[in-house]
Amino acid sequence: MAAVIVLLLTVSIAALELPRLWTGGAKKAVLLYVCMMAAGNVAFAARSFGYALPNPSDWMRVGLAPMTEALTRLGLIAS
Amino acid sequence: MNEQLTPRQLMILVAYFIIGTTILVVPSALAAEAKQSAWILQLAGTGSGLMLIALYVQVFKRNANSNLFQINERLFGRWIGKGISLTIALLVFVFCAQVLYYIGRFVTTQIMPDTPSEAIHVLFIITVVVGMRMGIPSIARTAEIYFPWVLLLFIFFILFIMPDIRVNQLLPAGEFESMSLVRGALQVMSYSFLPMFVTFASLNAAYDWRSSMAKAFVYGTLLSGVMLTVLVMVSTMVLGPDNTTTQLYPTYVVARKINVGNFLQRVEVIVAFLWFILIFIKLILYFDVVIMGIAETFRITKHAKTLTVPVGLLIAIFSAVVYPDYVYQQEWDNTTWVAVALLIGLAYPIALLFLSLFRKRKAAAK
Repeated sequence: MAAVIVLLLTVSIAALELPRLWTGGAKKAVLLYVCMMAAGNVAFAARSFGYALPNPSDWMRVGLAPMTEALTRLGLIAS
Repeated sequence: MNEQLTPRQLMILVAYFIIGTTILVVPSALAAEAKQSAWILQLAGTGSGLMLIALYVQVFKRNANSNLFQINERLFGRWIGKGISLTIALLVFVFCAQVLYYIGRFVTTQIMPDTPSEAIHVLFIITVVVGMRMGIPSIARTAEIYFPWVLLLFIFFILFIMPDIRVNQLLPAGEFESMSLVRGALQVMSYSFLPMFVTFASLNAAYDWRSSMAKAFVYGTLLSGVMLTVLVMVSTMVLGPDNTTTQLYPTYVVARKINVGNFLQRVEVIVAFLWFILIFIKLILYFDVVIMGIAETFRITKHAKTLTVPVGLLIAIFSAVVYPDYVYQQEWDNTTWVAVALLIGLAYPIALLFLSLFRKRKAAAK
């Protein structure tokens, strides 16, 4: 239900914003806007149906693990 | 979005940004490192922060009239520059979600325990989106309007808590290991100063370097440094070092103790209001980095404001994802955050400074 409300809200906001952008010739901006809105709706729907979203903090933790380890070994991060 | 900022506005934005979330996290973290001498670590952190500011001002001045993303494309080349800009926008997107989490967590644990944190996140992000659509100059003017109130509330807070202060709680001073001093200063830097580079570099086109912009950075840093040091000292003197370490939000607990003649009580929400203003400004500055980063990468700067709603929606969703629980947050903040902050706040500006110098020499040789 919450996903439907968010979808309706985003569609109404898009209906207000997109025609102005489209007539102004900003097609790239429209494409980006639609993609991001779609991503937002999919992410929200996934969460409201109980699916776990990937956590970007985890990616950063994995990507920076060697640096974090080095800082810990130097004593700059409390172990 | 890039109208000029006045030095006074910049000073206030710098001060708000530095105090921002630091006010919530740092007192207990520093007390854990150095107990009653936590304030010395805060001073050391502010001193080191001033050196970072000097580095940032050098990068900003050498690339005047260009924002961070334009600098990236000019110095690294178009495609690598775009890649770096997008990476920064995505990193700061995560920071936005984390700041929103902080607000939600604070409100739900201290003020409104029965309200779901998602409701707080949505309300707060709506204000940020509306503010962002007004543009950074309007936000800077808002910050200016609130500035006397922030100072006044802070001064009243300190005055009202005076009767509970026990100076002997600060003794013995200076009893900590040298590595604690380094770690504490690094914590202050990682929360307050290191994320400043990407945030204020993305506004670089809005600085008029003919006026005293460099001084604005220094004064903003000094003002926030004084406020934070006083807060850390007051937390230690009122709660004691051990209690400060164990409290989640020590300054809020201190504000709860305000009781003037059994008449003026329960004024802690005023302190919370002060935090909301500071964190709102910090979040909106981060939000601007995300919007400008995406808009510059895809060359849609004229229509950047239209991205605020979809980006706001994504931030609100991910604010419930980035920190699954408090233990995760503590662990991430104490380890990964320090590494991220050093990368974007130290390694990256140094690389930009060297590239700026190299390009200048190359151009002069031609």
